[in-house]
Amino acid sequence: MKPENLPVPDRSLDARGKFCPVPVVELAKVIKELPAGQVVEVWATDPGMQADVPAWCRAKRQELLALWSEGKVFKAQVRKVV
Amino acid sequence: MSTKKVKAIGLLSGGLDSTLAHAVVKAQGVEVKAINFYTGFCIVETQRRLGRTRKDGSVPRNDALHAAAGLETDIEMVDISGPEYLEVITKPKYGYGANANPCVDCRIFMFKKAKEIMEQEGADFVFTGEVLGQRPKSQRRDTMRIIERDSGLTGKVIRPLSAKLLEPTVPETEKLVDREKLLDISGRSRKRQMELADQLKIADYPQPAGGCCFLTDESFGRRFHDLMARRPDRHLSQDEIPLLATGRHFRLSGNAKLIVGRNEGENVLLGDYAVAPRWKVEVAGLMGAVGVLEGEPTDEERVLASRIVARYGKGKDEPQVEVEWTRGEDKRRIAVQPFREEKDFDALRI
Repeated sequence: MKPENLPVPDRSLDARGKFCPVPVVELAKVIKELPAGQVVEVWATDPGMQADVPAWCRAKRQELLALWSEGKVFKAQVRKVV
Repeated sequence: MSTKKVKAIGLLSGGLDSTLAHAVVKAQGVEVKAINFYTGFCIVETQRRLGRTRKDGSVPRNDALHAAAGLETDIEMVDISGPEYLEVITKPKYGYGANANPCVDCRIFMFKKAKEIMEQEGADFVFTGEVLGQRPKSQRRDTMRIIERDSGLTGKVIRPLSAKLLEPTVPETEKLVDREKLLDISGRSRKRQMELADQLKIADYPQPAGGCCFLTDESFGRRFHDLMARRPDRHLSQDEIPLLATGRHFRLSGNAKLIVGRNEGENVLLGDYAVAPRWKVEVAGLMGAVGVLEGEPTDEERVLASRIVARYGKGKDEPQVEVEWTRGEDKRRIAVQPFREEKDFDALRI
């Protein structure tokens, strides 16, 4: 279930039907285009996203605001820090 | 050491060797950017697409991301999976290894990309986790020289784990890195790497199970070469890669190949691929495997393919089942007796 009090995302990324590492590759491209402080919400059906997105955020020093699932769709919000 | 901030680009697969190489270079105060290449031949990608899990029930992980997170190192996932890379894989200048792995050509391609990134980032050198003598083709001294020469990186690649056994590189002679703090590991044993991992407190690394590349997989290699042998132009499209990695493959003739799913995940994937000009083949009214036929089968080959598909379903012990063939609007049914045993058609398996 979607956590409460999340910001309205500035960008959304639909990576459903794509698998490791494509959702993260696409997330990286979107983040690169955003100014610091903005938020992207990503949707994916690859269950590995639950591990990949936190690992990517840790390596890239980006802020993972939330990670949740709705049915078979895994969702995350990431704020660009650097 | 120079006072200039030294920067390096490291190739990171997430295996033990490349993770250690990163740790060794970072320990010298070098600013490191890790790069990981997405080739389209990634085993984890297909495992996840098919819904496979590891023995402990977890989802197969992306080792490069996991390693970069543990190292707290910036990582860029570089997508090289386009036609340019496929051209290298299907027409390699230096040939193949034991399977469909043109490791030398692949390394040259990756090193060229690494050089581009090194120049864009203003980095001083590239490093890898290669260990001298560990792999029969791409990690020999003479091959390493060829790879560096053809990628335009001669003298600019440090292999931190084997550096003391190799000629000093430019960054070593310029004292950008301290050669004395690099290592002299060679060969296939992982004993010294495991000791080093203990010292550096790197505990969570994958076992050496052939990496994440289908090109080094024996059965994938057979299917790849079977396909290439029938295509004079050696063309391979990106969307054919998951198909080569999925199901049981049977060569019925030069003009007909049958692929049969082994589980629900594969049946779903094959169902997605079963669109014209391919045929979808499945037993009518009974649960069972999905078959995909590529090519134009003769009537005899249709019967053969139908009997094989029927072998892998609920009707396998029936005297006769109806097998449905679908290609767009074209639908046909054939009544056949399922093969009773796999050995009856095993010679067709690719």
